[in-house]
This record gives sequence, structure tokens and C-alpha cells, in this order.
Amino acid sequence: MQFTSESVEDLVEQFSKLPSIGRKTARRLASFVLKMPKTEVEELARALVAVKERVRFCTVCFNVTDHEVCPICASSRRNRSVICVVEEPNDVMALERTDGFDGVYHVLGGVISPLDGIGPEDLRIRELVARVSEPDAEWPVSEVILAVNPNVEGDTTAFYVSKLLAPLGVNVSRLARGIPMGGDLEYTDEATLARALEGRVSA
Amino acid sequence: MARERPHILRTHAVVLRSIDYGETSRIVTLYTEERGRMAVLVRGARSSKSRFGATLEPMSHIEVVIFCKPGRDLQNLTETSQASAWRGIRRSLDKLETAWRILEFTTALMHEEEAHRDVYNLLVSTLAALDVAHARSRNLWPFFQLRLVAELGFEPAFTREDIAALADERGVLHLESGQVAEDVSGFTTGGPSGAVREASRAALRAFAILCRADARSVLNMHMDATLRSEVEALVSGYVSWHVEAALPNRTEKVFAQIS
Ligand SMILES: [Zn+2]
Repeated sequence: MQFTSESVEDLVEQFSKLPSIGRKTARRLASFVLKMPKTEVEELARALVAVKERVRFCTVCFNVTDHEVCPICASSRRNRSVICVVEEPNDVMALERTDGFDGVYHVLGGVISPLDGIGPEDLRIRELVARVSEPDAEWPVSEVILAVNPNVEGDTTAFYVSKLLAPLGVNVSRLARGIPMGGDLEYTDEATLARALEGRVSA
Repeated sequence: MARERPHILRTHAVVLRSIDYGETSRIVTLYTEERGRMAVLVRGARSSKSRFGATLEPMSHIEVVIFCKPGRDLQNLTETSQASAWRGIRRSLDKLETAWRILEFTTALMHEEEAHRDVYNLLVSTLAALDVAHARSRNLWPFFQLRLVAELGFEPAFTREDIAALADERGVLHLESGQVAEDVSGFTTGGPSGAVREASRAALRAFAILCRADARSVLNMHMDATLRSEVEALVSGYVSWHVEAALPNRTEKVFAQIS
């Protein structure tokens, strides 16, 4: 099926640039937009533009925010002595949903990926080191938790960041790696199982 | 090229690269024992219930089952199991750097679906040596480069005896043939006059050992910083003379920011 309107075709084209949207889904979305009331379409368009205009990076942790400093960094209830280092803003959201962390974050903006040519200078690693070494009487940084993904790129990044933080005398830890909760030993691949065994803790 | 009918391929492989594809899939580049470099599609590899787990990460040594259908760009990988654990590679930044470089170099130099069992064996034995190395793991990088270009037909034409015969403390390496002589007048084959590298006898000797020894023995070679950089320059001079167009340097650039 081909739309006869050029502007509809244009919209389909734009939708199909989004991740996991094929031509078929893009057409379905476009025909849905055609049926939406004009006010709702305007709201959608405004939201899309606003996200680019208003959202910026927190000057402390580099999470996405509407303010200069994000609500987490600005909160008086957060323990600023513990910094959790993550790859992307989505990871902050995931950790916040656990309700189990009261420290603050640092978003690297990716991970060291040699085959893609992504190195430390493309990430906010220098900013992390500056943050940890900055003297703060009230909240001296005591622990840095490396919550990078448990893959080779994550390992490379974690080794490098630990190496930089070592002289600063802070505790550097990494998220435990192993079998997912609710998982089954029998169906866990050997590589994951081996790492879980290596990272075992006392019962 | 297309083989006539759909079939199942079971082979050992080293994972060279793994990139996300769509919502839950991955495209994984393998160096397989049976068919050389091969890119495969792995559906559902990134879903939390994926049975592939950590087996599809770069530097993994695995056994794979691939469903091959003629005419398809990417074949489907359906099963994996671990062949070697190689957890030692992931215990130091130095080892990771060497491993990343080896993967990048192999990906760049080897063509798709060109079976080359000696290259597979070289890759596996080098990574296995890297896994168990306690010190001097960096020796494996010049070793791997030299041996891979040798497998591609550019084996240097000299031995330790040639070096022992050098009367001087220095000698020259002829980049095209890999011959060694005291000076340029000693070469039996011609070639452009600029295509030689001068080096110390110690560096030429190390170069010769790297050309002949196996991966494990290379770990026993002691090189101080000066000798190491001389040997690395000699090796990269020799390698780029033969495969210049294909030489990648992303990993090198990234690690230049790190060390
Ligand atoms: Zn913040």
C-alpha cells in the first residue's frame, strides 16, 4: 500500500528512522496520526521539540535533566559520598527503580569500545576523576560503584577507571556478575556460570 | 558463495566482534575453524532469557551450530557452547589491549568465508597463551602480527643463523623479502632502495625468534623497553610493507589514550 500524499510519505519516512520501527509499523503509526485530533498532534510535536530544546546534561553527573543540576544531585537526601558509575541515562532509571540506592550517579555516556574507536576521551571519565578528587568537607567521596555492563567492553572500562581512581584512595567496587535471579543453573551458559562461580560470596 | 542446499554447520570459532541488531538480536563476526571469517545473525541474543549468555562476547572461544541457507547474506547461529574459558584474558588491562588488537587485526586481514585452518589455530594458540601469561603478555602482539602475515604468504626469509653471521652489532632487514644483511649491498634480491629497516642485532634476533617460536615460548622472551620498542617498530614496518592498505588502527588510538 502506498500513500498518495507526499506529507504522509514523509511522516512514514521519519517514523521508520526510529529504532525497531519497520516500514509497516511506520505506516500504521502515520495512519494513526492522521486520525488523531489536531490538538493531540500538536502536543506530540511540542513534546518532541521540547525534548531537544530543554533537555540538557546535569553539570555534575551528566544525566539528562531539564535543569542545570539534576534532581538527584540536588537532593539533600542523597548520599553524595557514594557515586555509582553507569554507561547511559537509561541505566540511572533502571537503578532508581530498584529503590535500593541512595547515593548519586555519574553517567559516562558510553563505554570504551576499541573496535568502534571509542576511547576515554569520548566519555566523561576525566570528569569522574575530577569529581572524586575534588575536596568536599561535607561529602568526601568514599566509594565508587562501577555499574557498567558485564561484557568485555565493560571490563576494559572498569579496569581503566579503577586504575585512574586507585591513587585517590577511594573504595572501587563493581556490580556482582552471574546467574540472573529466577534463573536455572542447568540452563545457564558455561561462560556466565563460570563467572558466577568466580565471583561467589560467602553464604 | 552459495552452497546448493540448506545445511547445518558445526564448528569451533573465536568471536571477533559482536554488534547489536534490531531490538534483541546481534550480528556476530566469528573466525571459524571450518570457514574462516563469517558473520552470523543471532536472534534473541540480547533478551534476558537468552540461552547464549556470555558466549557471544568478543574473545570467546566457542563451539557453534549455524543453520546455513544458500543465498542468504547472514546465516543464523542457533546454538553455542563454550570451548575454552579464557577468563585470564579478562583479568588485566594489558591482556585486554593485546586481545583487542589481535581481534581487530584478524578482522581486517582475513576475508569472509575463506577457510584457513592455520590462521584459526594461530588465533586460538595465541589467545590461549595470553590467557595463561603471567608476565610479558605484550610479546604476543608482535608475534601474532608476524605470524598472521606469514600465514598469508609473507614469511620473512631469514633465520637466527643469518643473524649470528652478522659481523656488526647492527644489520638491516629487507622489508620485501624479509632477508637480513649487514648493509643494503648484501641482498640477493633487489627492490626499492628505501625498503629496508636498520636495527640492532638484538632486535633482529628477537624478530627471528618471533618468526619461529610458538606462542607459549614467546612469553619467555625478555625484552627491555628499548629493545621492545625497536622490535615493535621492526615488526610494524615489515607488516605494513606487506599489508598496508588493510591495516586498522582504532584499537591503537584508543589505547594510546589509556596508557
Ligand atoms: Zn546530576
